Amino acid sequence: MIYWNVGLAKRMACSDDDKATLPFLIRDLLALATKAQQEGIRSVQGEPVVAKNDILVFGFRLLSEGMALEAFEEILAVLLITGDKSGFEFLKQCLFAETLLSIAAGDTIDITLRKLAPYCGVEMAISLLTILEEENLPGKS
Amino acid sequence: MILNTISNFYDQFRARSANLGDHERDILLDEAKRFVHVIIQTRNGDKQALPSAVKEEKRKPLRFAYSLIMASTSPAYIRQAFHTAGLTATRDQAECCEIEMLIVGTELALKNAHPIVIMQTMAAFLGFSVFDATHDWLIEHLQTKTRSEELILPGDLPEIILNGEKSDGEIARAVRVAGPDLAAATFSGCPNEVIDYIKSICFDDLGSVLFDDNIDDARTRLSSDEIADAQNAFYELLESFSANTGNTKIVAHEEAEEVRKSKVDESLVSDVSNLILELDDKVLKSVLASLSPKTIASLVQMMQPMAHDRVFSTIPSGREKKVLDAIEGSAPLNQVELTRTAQLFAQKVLSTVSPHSKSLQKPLELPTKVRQLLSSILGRE
Repeated sequence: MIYWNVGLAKRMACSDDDKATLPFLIRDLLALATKAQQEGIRSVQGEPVVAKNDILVFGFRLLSEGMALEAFEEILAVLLITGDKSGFEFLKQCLFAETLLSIAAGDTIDITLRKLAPYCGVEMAISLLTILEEENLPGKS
Repeated sequence: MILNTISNFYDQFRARSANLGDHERDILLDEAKRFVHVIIQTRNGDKQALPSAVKEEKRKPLRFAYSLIMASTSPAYIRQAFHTAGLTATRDQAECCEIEMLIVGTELALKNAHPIVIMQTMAAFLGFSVFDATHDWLIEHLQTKTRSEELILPGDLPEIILNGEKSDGEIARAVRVAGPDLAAATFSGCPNEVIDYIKSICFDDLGSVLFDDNIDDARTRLSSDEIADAQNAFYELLESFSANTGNTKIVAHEEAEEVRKSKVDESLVSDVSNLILELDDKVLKSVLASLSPKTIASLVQMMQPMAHDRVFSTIPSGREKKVLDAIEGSAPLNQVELTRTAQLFAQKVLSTVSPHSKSLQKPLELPTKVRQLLSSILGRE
């Protein structure tokens, strides 16, 4: 269940075209989460998707500091709220933060998928599952 | 979900770091550093750090934060206290950031959060650009302490960790899922070699400082049995990843809950441990000799690691195995049984130090602290 907030909803509003790219982004994030869980956090810190996004760089470094899950979530929330991103960029940052939290919680890849898929909305979630099925990627089950 | 956390905070945090200029950001970062520095000094035992900071600090909101900490205000009332003091009534973005940063920092300080957590959370209000400076400042101000004495509990965990049976990824994942408390409790009973290995695969320099601090804390706070329970819980968690079954979070939660439930009365643990540490060598040796291995095994269930070490260094090596066997075969005792065992131990101490001749009715020559500990243990119901 999501406790909705009007201000937050307005801030993350984005176009249908933007939303259509989310399944591909989630596919990449699932691959990142799989690698992090199997090979450790250090193995993903040089990945291009990480290097291009401050919140992932910062988040993985915080994970290496051994931050407790609750404190980690609070820090990510503060960064997202007080940062300057809005629209699709803000939505993407929320997805990155959700992925980081799922890695921190040691979730299996299926659980990570269940946490990320709702960001797509119902129709796009089906597209996401189709992509995972076709490309035989983690989380397809 | 992160969206729920954001929703909860969204209306409270009016501050926007993006609206801050570099100069304002630097000033606020300095303020966060001053605040956390005072917390570090206070935690290191400097009782004058907070009163001096209240006197010397020029920024009113920061002075107010210090005064709330000095008054041990409940963390739940910090936001309200800032509001009532009129400090939240500002539209200036730098002041909004300052107030939010101080409210959160004060709440965390009063919840006894580690300075690393306090500083990183406060710095988050200033955006990504201060992250490196914050990291460097923390490393500089949280120098590694002398490591506490190594404590090794019997068990297979060190071998499992070091022999390559589990991948680094699996171990690191188990450490993350266990969380800082369970991980520290687990490895506080392992050789330094294992601790160093865990740090090398799981943590960076700052994470290693935090891990060492948590291990020191666990070694002084937990009994040997609690550490052994934590090791069992961690082992189960690690195994669950290899078996690849079930929801690991549920397993971790259940195991952590089991450790929590098995905790004994901490004041009893503290009294028994302090008594063992305070007793004269000869007295302790004589008392332990008069107790059965089974009673010593029960006593071990309510001991901090240092007391545990002293007991095992006092028992003759020929008897040590019998005690270890008794520990192996002993079931966890309930609170009443633990209290009775502690009282039996206290009575043995008294009878050992009592003058044997009735004509010598002098007061017992016991240090005040030992007397206080004995009466605290024997006075329990």
